[in-house]
Amino acid sequence: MSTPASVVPEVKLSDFQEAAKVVSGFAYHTPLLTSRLLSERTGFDIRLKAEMFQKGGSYKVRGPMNKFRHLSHEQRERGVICSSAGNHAQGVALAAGRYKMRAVVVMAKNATQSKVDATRAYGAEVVQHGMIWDEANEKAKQLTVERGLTYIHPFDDIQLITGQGTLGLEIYEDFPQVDVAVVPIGGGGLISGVSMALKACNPRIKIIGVESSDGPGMKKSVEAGRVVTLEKIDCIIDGLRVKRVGETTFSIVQRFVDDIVTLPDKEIFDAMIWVMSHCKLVVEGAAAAPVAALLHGLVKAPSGSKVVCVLSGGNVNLEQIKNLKWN
Amino acid sequence: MKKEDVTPPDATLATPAGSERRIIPFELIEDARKHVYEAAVRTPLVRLNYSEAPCEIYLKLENLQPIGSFKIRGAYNAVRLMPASERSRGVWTVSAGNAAQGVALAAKKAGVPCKVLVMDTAPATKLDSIRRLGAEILKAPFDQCWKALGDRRHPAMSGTFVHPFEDDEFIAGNASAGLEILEDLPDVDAVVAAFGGGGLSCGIACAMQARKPGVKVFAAEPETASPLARSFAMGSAQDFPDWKASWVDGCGGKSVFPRMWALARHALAGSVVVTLEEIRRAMKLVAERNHVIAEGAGACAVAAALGGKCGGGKVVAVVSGGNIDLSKFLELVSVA
Repeated sequence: MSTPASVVPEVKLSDFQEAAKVVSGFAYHTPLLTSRLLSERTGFDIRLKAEMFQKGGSYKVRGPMNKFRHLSHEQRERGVICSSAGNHAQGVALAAGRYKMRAVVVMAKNATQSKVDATRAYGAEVVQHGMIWDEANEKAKQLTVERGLTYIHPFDDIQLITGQGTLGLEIYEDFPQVDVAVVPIGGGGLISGVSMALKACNPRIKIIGVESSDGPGMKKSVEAGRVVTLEKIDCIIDGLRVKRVGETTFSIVQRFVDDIVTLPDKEIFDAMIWVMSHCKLVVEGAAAAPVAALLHGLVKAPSGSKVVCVLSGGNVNLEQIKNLKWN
Repeated sequence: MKKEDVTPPDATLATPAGSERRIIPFELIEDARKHVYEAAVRTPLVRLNYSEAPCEIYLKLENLQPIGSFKIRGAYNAVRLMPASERSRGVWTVSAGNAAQGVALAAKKAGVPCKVLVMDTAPATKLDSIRRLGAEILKAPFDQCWKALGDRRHPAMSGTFVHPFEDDEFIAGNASAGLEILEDLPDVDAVVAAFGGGGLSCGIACAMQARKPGVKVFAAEPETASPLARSFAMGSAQDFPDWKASWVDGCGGKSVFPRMWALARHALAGSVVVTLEEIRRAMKLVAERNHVIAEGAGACAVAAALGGKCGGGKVVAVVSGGNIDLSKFLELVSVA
């Protein structure tokens, strides 16, 4: 069922500030870094929001930290469940540990062993089922009912989105002169939170979303005026590969995001190598998407604009990219 | 600025303490601190995400400086403090690759030309960056470069010489990193930084001596080039006869310069020698757990802290730089 844009859940600045009190008790306030080369290349004054320094290596711990405070005592007693072989799994596991809650994570059987191990190390129970995410997700829904757990959606949840938005508050706190924020889009959870939070601080701040043109689910949905399911998805970048964006995230993006730009996976991968070579930061594919958009001149703003690029995470298998080639 | 010309103390260490003790005036460090952000950035201090370490390790991320290493601090300060008449002649330096970038950027900001004599151990990424900054490069064998550092001249170079580590102005610039560490982690117990010429570790040690003398500052050296450890063992400035080139190209000199020994022997708590394999593992750990790229010298300090020889408590490892060819980095961290 689609939500009309007019009923976008209203998240106020005070809601983000409330969320930040809880989130900042556990998550790091990550630094804004400079990049001399990226500033020179683009003519903007650029800052990089270094979320690869976050606990778990990505922004994903912020949302669950806020989500869990809204659970009832009984829900907390029973625990939470999610299906993810990536950053959401680690975010949920870490935050559940902090709340002393049980967390179950369902992953496909072919999930990378290091991700399974990392999620277990954060204290979650890992259940492996099926060969693709959809199958793992079906299993998660089944366990949700069987064990009375609370299902934690990876992006389409307003309390989760509010938690992710605390990243936007930090940007504004450290760099109130910001003119433009460039944010990757997968399911839309991060950009939904960040766009609402930044515009609550200053409605003139422009928000640019970046998607892979090999799977532009949000751009297609915004163009269609409703959430569309991609028939075919060629994007293979973790965190950007989403077949159908959320109803809530769609309605927020439609209202708060100024533009969505897209590039092919190949160019995003090249930007990932560029960031590693020149910024000395290990970034994952999704995190390189905003940099790719900047390097390719897709972000339109007056010269000298103050631009924040959200580097969403750093969880990449270095061995997999050692020949510097995509695939 | 007073330029002391110190000869190495004799091997018995019988010389009365203080007779040739070199000091960097704290006013010079404070002055450097006021100006350093005209070119450098205040880098973050982050906790190493590794619970099995023998101490609480923090990383001072100097690899995130605009040139990818701490050298911009000292280089900018040295060029800034030069009399205008000397600066206008243009500047030159000798470098393993990082100091050259620092001096080149400082020269670019001052609008003067820059020439660099670069050791042939420098990786392509360092050479590319120097070129991009507009400096003129002459590559030379390591020995020839090391000699030019001692002579402070070279037939192919012209302009005013910026020594990449041994002068007060350069060291005072580096010391600003030490002041930042103290602000971010007031109860720090020890700091460890790679030792090439010694400018970084001694700079930080001078800041600690002035502000918090209880903090121990260690040098870290690779086993392939550890003249400081040898100097501490012998009680005087030594060379390192078995010197070998390696991918740890940003630290590990062929000798300890006498003027640096005059500082190091009093300011540093010792030199921790690590193997190339320990450095490789530290590089991998830092990349996987903290998602930053450390070059060999930067990982060398982390390896020293991980080995437990910098003591327990809160230990800051200075990730001095991140300038390593990405293909080499990926090759090193891909090994289990």
